Amino acid sequence: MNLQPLSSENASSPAETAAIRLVVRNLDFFYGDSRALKAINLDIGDREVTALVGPSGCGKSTLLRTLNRMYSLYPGQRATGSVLLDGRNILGPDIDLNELRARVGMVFQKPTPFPMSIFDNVAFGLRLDGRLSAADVAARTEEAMRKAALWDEVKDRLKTPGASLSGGQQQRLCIARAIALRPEVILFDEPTSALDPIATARIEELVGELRRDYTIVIVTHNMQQAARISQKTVFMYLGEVVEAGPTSRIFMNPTENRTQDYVTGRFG
Amino acid sequence: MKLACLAATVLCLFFLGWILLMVVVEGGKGLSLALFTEPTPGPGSDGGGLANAMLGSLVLTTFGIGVATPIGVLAGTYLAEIGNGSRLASTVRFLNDVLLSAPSILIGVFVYALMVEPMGSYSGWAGGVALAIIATPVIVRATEDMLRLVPPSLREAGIALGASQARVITSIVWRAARAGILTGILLATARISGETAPLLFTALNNNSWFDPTLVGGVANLPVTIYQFALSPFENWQTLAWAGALVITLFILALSILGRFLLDRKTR
Amino acid sequence: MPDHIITAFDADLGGLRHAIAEMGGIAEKMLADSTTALVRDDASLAQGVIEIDSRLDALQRDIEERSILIIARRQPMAADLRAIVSAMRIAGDLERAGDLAKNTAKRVLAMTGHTHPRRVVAGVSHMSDLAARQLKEVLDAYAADDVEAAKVVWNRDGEIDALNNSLFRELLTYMMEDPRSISFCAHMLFCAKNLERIGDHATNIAETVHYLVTGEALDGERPKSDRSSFAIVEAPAGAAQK
Repeated sequence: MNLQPLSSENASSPAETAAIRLVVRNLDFFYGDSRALKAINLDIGDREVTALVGPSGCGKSTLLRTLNRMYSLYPGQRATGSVLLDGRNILGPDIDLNELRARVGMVFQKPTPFPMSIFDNVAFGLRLDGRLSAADVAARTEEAMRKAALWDEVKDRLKTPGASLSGGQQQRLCIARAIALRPEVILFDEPTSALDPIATARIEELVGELRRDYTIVIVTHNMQQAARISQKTVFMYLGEVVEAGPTSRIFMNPTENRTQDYVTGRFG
Repeated sequence: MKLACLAATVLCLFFLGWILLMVVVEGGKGLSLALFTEPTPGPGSDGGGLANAMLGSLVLTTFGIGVATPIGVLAGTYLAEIGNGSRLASTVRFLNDVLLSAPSILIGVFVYALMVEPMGSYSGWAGGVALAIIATPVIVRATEDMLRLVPPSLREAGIALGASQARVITSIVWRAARAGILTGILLATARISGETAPLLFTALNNNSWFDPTLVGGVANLPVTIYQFALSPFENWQTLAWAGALVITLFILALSILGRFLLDRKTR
Repeated sequence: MPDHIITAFDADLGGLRHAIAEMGGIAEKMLADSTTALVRDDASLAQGVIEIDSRLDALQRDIEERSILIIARRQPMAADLRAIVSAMRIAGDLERAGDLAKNTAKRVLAMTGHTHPRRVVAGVSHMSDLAARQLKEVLDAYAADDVEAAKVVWNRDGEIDALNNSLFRELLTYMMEDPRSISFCAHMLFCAKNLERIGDHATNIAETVHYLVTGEALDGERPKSDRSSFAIVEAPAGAAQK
């Protein structure tokens, strides 16, 4: 009996798997004195979806948040090692954080529309350095909302508050907000765990389209979701990477027993 | 248990209602257009109004709030956003709470020693400063509490887009908490418009139109009421009641406005 | 492997294994009884085999339904998914094996009263023993998740095929020598073929066990040596022409 490869939309072509976007080497992360990530080594492929899975407390969100240095906001949290984006270590002291975050965007678990209109929400990032003209801002905002599959639903009410949208729409708004900056990498931190099944399905569909233009890293505790939308899966446990590889292998025939136990629901 | 609570509520409302009733009835007797246009009459004379006292109160309150608001909002922002957790912040917060409940007469005496004595006379400036000192802790508290209610994910979302912390605070956090902060300012205004004790030592009073430079006594409602109520002159007593009614209505209006704003924004 | 967090999942999987074990037992019995009925010319035993086949069919349908339900409910991954797919395949193989034994039993009924040449019957009986052993060992391998035992069964398929080849030639020779035996021998041909096919099903099950445990297909050409499709026997010179 031959195991056919999973459907071609989910497979990476040989050319795509060759390019690596982010290289993580020997990454340690500390909350104060306690070590939350231990010697992480990982390659994040260009223009594919990499899923970080694992039981609660395994460090997947922590790892995600080092990729855009979100932890810099909080004293007492620090990272050592290297995360290379196009050869430069983003953990270094000479990195312009604002520029980094324009290249590496993030979408959070709970949709967080700013207290302003839909248009202003998406345009927020674009207006930060004041260099774009109003016309450019409007064009980029529309482009971002189209890519986030939101434009048609809101084009007639761009001035209404962002909070007036439904949960699923709000999350797409947050995605549009991140895309407007034309990042290279988009980080998703459990983006659908606060949404109903239909909204979840639409976000998953969106991620599938976005991955053609962006490198995506997604943290999810829903294994079936990881199996559905990612090309690479990384299984983490207690701050370490246990196994990383093509999604089809991780979910059909993992090498490590711990991985097998987790994906079959025997622990976690 | 329920009965005890109910009884206590009824008791409270009873006295509150009684006070209000008295103010409305007695104050209503003195209500007239002249109240708002004529300055205070001399002792024993008829007629007159409270126009100078109202104007004075308006000026002092505006000055007080004008000074208190920027200081209060910025301090509140520091406590909630920037200094969070530091020793300095805890100290400031503690001192703020002390000042919040300090007897206002102490503040009056303090400003007397600070400004009135060196200046050689009572003044509107001293009065305004005293009111500002009373209003600031209220605004600091309200601002900090409202800012804390803004979820951290909102700030993180702003940071994740590349905004600086200052930008996140001004464009996102303040906007999100704006209704609450505004309410805090309104409540502070309501509070200081009725303060009497500090004004006794600072702006004192004036029986006619006060000096535009605000040097010398500035007429104001609370002290005027105090003065007139204790006098033997019936006209003055009526005016005192009317003044009390005016203040009550003013504070009521501010409170309702504040409540309305807060309700609308948080829906 | 530790148990599932959801115990009902373990119960579901256990139920499948249990059902397969029952099917295996019935299939083995049907094989043994059909051969015994042939050797002893026992019509009632043959009838028993025919009747019990419906139980086998019912079990196979049940296993299929349960497997589909588990897939819908539990969204199984990795080893669990392979376990369910394997159960469905093995149930199919066992059901076909039972049908083949039933076919033999039917032929026993058709042949009652005819003379049963000893040598032929002995040959078929020997084939049946081999097939029975294959079936038993592969089912034991499934129960124990034993890949090596499955491989042994897989490699031994050649023995039954070789026997089938020689039996085929022998029967052809008989038929040419004595036309009266044609009817009986024709049935025997089919019985031998049935047994050879049962052996193939056992080999299928062995491949499935390998996939179940390792997640990979058993590589390589199956050791097929069934040449009966190519067998031609020349009539000996001077044979009586009819």
